[in-house]
Amino acid sequence: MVATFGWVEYLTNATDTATPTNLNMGSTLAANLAPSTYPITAGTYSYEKWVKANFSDSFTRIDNIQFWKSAGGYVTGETMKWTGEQTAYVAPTTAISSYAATAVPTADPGTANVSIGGSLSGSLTTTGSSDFIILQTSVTTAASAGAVNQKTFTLQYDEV
Amino acid sequence: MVVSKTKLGSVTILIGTDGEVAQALSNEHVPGSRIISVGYNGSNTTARYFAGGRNIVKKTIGSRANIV
Repeated sequence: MVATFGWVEYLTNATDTATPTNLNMGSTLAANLAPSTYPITAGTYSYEKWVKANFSDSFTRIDNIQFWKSAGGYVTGETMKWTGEQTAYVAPTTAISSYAATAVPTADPGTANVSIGGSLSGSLTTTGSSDFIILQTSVTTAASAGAVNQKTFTLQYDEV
Repeated sequence: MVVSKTKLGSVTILIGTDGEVAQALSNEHVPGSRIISVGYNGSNTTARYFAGGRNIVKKTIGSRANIV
């Protein structure tokens, strides 16, 4: 058997979770939100997106988790910041994030940048999750109204 | 069972669900070989390959937003 991977999104509290099929960013705290229904106002921030990578079923070890933006350029005034090393849940906010404070990598980082159990060298040997990956979009008043470019995020892991 | 398995030179193409291809990869990897699979599910894809003695898995997910 091999590991079964799934995204888990955390919403209003640490037990309020959903299974996202996208990481759309917007002005509401919801998984799979409709961007046109919940747009981001220029000069503000999106809701933070708090997700984990979950691994279940049969595997020997999961480690070396890497996350980056693999496609989709920013429009003028748009940036996305993130962290992959948050261990404790905190309610997502539309204020500037205290956690997603580093520009999202735009290339394969080459080494783990998402922690497991509080460590970038951590691993899973049974069903479990990575630590939190937190994303937030920032839009300045220089941004034009409308849809931004679709982004693709890649999450890579080693399975033994 | 994978639906299809085709060998083109040093490349093996497996077609099936992600779970099926992953299982085949787990069963069949050989040191020095490189087996790649890509699955598609909505905006999400899966790629797997074997390198350096490890199974490496890449998952993608899309993200959109609108500005007002």
